[in-house]
Amino acid sequence: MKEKEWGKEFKKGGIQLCVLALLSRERKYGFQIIKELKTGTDAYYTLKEGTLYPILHRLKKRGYLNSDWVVGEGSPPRNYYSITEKGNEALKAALIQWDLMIGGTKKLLEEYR
Amino acid sequence: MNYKSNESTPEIEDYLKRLRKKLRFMSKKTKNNVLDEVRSHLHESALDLGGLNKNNAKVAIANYGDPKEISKSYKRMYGYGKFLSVVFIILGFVMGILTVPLSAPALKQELITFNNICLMGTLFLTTLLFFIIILSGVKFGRWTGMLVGFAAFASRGLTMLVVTNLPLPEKIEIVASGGPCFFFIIVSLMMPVSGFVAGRVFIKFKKKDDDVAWD
Repeated sequence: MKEKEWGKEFKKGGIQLCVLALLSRERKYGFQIIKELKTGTDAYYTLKEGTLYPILHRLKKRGYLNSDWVVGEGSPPRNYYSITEKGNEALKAALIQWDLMIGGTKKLLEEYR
Repeated sequence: MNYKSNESTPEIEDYLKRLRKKLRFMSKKTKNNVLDEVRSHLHESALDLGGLNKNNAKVAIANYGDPKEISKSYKRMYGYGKFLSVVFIILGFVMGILTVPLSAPALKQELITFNNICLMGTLFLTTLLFFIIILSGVKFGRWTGMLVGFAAFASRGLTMLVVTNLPLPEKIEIVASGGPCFFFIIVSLMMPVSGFVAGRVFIKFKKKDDDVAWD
């Protein structure tokens, strides 16, 4: 497996976790999430912008997110996403799994590096 | 940010037009919501690049991605609209009527060609009907697949009931008893089952969370 393919495998689950984490403090709109994903992860999560929205829609469909259109002056109408109670619980559960995975994997890999 | 709510660029509107085309058959509400969000994003992105003009719009569109790939993700998630499901259910019902087998056993010699045409026609239409049922299960999900199959099952049963009680043209018969009738019932019963199974099996192979394109 090439480096890029490894990246794709790791990023698959990570992106949903990062989106939930980004929305756990305040509501954000799609373009803002993309920018923060990029800057907050040293450009590790740099995706084709249009592919973020299906992720947001899927998380919404699962009941983890809500969305509301806000029409403001001087900016395009924005669809703001906010985390729900169910989403917060999912985030907590995901973070536990994440810590276990990172801890366990790191422990093993350090022996074999 | 200097933005007027009614402004856009021909490039962005053309992109949205192409995306709308790719999202056809999805429910109107979902489609409009998706397109509003894409427009908002492209405007936001172009403004972030310095302003809503031709060059920035082109960059924003390139960063957004291919409308074909994007539409696939939404279709996988939301499926098609109810209108198309209803069309398939009606199609199943009509096709069911056409697949009731006619034959003329009492006039085998004279009507051999008629018999063959009827048999081949029924076989062809029945195969086509199964294809439609399976396709609806795969495209719209197991329950719609089962409904399309059930519509075909019901129309075949109803047609059989009506036709067996009608005076038919001389010496033309409907298979209404014995082995062929048993076969007719089994084939009819297989229709809703095949729609359900096709949808159920397809769900296992359905691409789910692998929609993200990375730079």
